[in-house]
Amino acid sequence: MKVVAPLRARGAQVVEALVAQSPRHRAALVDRLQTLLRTLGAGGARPTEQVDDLVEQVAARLDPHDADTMWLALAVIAAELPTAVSVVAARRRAELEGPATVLRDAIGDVAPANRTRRVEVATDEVLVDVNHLARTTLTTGIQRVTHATVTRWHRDHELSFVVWTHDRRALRRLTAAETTDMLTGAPRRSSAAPELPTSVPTVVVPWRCRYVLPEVALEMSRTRRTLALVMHARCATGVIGFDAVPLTTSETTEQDVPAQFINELAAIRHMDRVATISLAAETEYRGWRTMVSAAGITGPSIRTIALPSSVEAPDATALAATRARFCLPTMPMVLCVGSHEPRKNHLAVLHAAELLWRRGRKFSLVFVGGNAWNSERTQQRLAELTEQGRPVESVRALPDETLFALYRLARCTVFPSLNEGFGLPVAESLASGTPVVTSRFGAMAEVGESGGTLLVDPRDDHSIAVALDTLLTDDHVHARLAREAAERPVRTWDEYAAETWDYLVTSNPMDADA
Amino acid sequence: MTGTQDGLARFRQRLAAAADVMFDAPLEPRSGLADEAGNLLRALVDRTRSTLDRRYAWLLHTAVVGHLPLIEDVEELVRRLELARSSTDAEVWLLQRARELTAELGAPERELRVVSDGVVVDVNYSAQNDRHTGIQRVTREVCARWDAEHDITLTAWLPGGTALRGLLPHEEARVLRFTHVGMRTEQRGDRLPVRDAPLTPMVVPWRSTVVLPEVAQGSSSRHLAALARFSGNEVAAVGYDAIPITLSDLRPGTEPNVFTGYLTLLKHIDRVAAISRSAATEFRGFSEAVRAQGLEGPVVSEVMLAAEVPDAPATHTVAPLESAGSVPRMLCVGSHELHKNHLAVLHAAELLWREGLEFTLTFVGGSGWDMAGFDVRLNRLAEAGRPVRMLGAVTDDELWAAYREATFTVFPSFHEGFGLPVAESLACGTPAVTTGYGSTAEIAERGGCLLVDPRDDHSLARALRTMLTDPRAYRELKEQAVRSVGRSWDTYSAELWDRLVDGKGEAA
Repeated sequence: MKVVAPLRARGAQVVEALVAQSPRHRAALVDRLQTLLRTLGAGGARPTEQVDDLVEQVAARLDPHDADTMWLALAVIAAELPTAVSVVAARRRAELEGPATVLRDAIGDVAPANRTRRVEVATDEVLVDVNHLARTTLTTGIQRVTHATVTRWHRDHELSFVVWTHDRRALRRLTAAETTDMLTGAPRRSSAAPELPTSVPTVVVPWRCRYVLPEVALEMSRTRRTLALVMHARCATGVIGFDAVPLTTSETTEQDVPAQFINELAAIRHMDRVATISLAAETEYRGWRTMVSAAGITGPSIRTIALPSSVEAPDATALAATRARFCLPTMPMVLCVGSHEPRKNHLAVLHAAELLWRRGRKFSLVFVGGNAWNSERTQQRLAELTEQGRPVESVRALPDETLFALYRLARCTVFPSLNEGFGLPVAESLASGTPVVTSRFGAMAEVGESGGTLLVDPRDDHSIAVALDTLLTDDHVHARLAREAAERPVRTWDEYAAETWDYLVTSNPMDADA
Repeated sequence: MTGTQDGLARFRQRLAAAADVMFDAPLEPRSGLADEAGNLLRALVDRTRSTLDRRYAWLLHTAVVGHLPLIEDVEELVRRLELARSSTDAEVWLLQRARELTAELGAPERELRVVSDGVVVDVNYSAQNDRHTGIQRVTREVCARWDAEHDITLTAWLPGGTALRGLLPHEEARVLRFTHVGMRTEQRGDRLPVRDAPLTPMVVPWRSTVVLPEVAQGSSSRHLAALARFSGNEVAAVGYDAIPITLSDLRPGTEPNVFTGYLTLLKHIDRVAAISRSAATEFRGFSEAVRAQGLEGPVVSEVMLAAEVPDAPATHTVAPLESAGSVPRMLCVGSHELHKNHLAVLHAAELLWREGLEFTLTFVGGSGWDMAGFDVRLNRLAEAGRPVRMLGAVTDDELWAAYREATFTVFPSFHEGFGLPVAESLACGTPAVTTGYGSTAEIAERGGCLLVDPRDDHSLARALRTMLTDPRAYRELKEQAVRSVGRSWDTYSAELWDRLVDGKGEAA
């Protein structure tokens, strides 16, 4: 179209006028363009500080058919990561009107807040995205895994932690102080989420790196940009796959979580590797990968690297205090750990227990775990049974020391969940030498495979009651299962961290064309 | 709930209808409504209590409350019945629960009709709306044929999505004898004024097959999940696609929240007949995934969808572009949504116009989601003098005419459960350029298509260039398109019945 030339000229004037207003903006832009020039290959480059000269030189090194370099250019100029749709639009425009036009547009579109940011292109590094872990002291199961894993990665390997800026549009490095806080901060069960500094001097654009996501990313602004990063930054990419519950069991998740999780899956679609924490999680991810194959997308490699489970032996004082607080001297105690969400099936536990109490069995029942979405029926039933004088109580989250003491003190634990990525309470109970009644499928059966469990159909209350009765009344079976639990092979966090690092980083090849 | 004589009579009727199927022999009649209702309730409660059969619990809950139960309702009823110290205790609890639920869901105003050993088809949307695109068309074409050959019961949902009811005569006509001549697709979406008929009984399937030719939404999917899991009925669905999962990045942000709700129903049903191999892959993947929760998921098979185009010459024609003359006409049919990849069509077309090729480009289809970028781009090209236009929604006759007048069609969608525009194009004898995988590639096995990588604009441009510049290749494709054999609604409906109702020919 014959309007191309005048547009270019006008574009150059606009850019000069724009940057002339602010020397800092101009300096930042010159720096970004020089960074781009270096990254794309500075051979034959003319040293200059003229913006439009730099634009022309960068444009000369951009192939309008290559979405990757277009992604890089957009990211560096904007000082934030672009979305996949915007990369396609830019590539098409570059093909029709020349790369320089796209670059000038991008310069004109830089968000005011980003104008003075410094931009660093990170190459040949291992970038570990710990946005959630670094920003919150909430200690969920997933965060415990992330924390235990990245602590060991950090101890044993060269890596850089990155987090997203507060608007979740750009990456920056975690500061040394933040890193120390994240790694040493004692896990506290609080939902307070202190915000990291919002003024960001330097953002990081990954290019030919290794990018690892060892946590769940639910913010849409973050996952949409992660998608484009995974597609275009020429990085080897990997993620820890915890579960796909929001896809497969959305009736038990909060309202917006399915959409957020499915959008994370859109990014994972294009990743190289998923390290699932159990064979059950692998089953879910493989099923999802079959689904996306219908859209002509191969999807990632998937391999299970099973989580370890470790409990610290409680000392005598903690045991005594916990016994005094939670146990009745006349009867054994049954422990059930987990929040009261429907997926955990606590109504079935309460029913099985009531059937046994009516039969004259003597035991107390302790639930550890807070209220969750849709836990009203469980609350109501707990209240009714308490009123009828049944020895049942429910406590919110406890300190680890008390929880580990409870595992030791329990005659058995019961965990008939309908779907889990791992089933931590099963693993922790067995590690404490305490037998478990748990579901006969999925992650629960998998963790219990090497002994110490009675497996039940969690959709059949009587199946749960029979197993619970056995553990309460049959000392022989109880002793056998306790012995099996004690003899289980111990798997450590060091092993888990080493295996995930090898799969997600060391043996994960960079793109062939890199 | 039994405050009025009418209410009590309906209560008694619902219990009697349930007792009819729960007991082999009729119960001894009592004099007086209240006595009779009490007698029926006692019999139903006792039978359910003594067996703890979840089918009975589901039916008992339905009859007493007058709404279909959720999974947790049935589970709780079974537990309460097991723990109740007496029949009276059980009845007191159940009636109290019914009072709580009807306070929340509305008093049950309807009698209950049990459909035993039959086929119940949920046509909720197609019965109450005049929209006639994709899913509604399938529903109506299939139901009209099934109704002619089999005994089926068509149902819709009560407004809250808590119970099925029979159709009113005008709703049945809208499903079985739909006419839409001259109606534009955009005008078809309005829900018609509700002519409510409280006397239409709620329909309760028993030992039946419940067929879902539509995609259940909202609370009805939760009640259907309980039906599928506990009632003893078989449930079978037509599987269209899982695009909200597989291409969520190109769809409205919150769409997966609704669609995963539908998936929680699917994991409890027996069978899915997917509309293509590609769609079957999606639903099989979901079945694979739910094995981690100890479920089998539905058995998934393919019954490829039909696409019929009337033989009669079109009565309407699309007005030709003024300067079009005899230049080739490229047609792109489909609602304007990101995953249909219309931006790639515009880009490839512009590359070819710049090469000096002459052709016109016409888009047909209603507006979809987030296509501001498309509109801007199309307008810019039109302003620059490119022969491109957007017709929006058109009537069926106008659509058939557009297919027949087109030199070829282009449809490089990233993913479709069934690429209808390709099937329709071939049925009109017009060759197509389309995506080289998924359902569009399956349809292209009939011939008459050039396949492309929809993620590569140049692959698309190459195929368009071939259509425009290689007369031999074009003639060959045109002949293939004219000779191609599609699938009829008769065939589709018959195969669907075999697969969904009779369970024949299921893939393991």
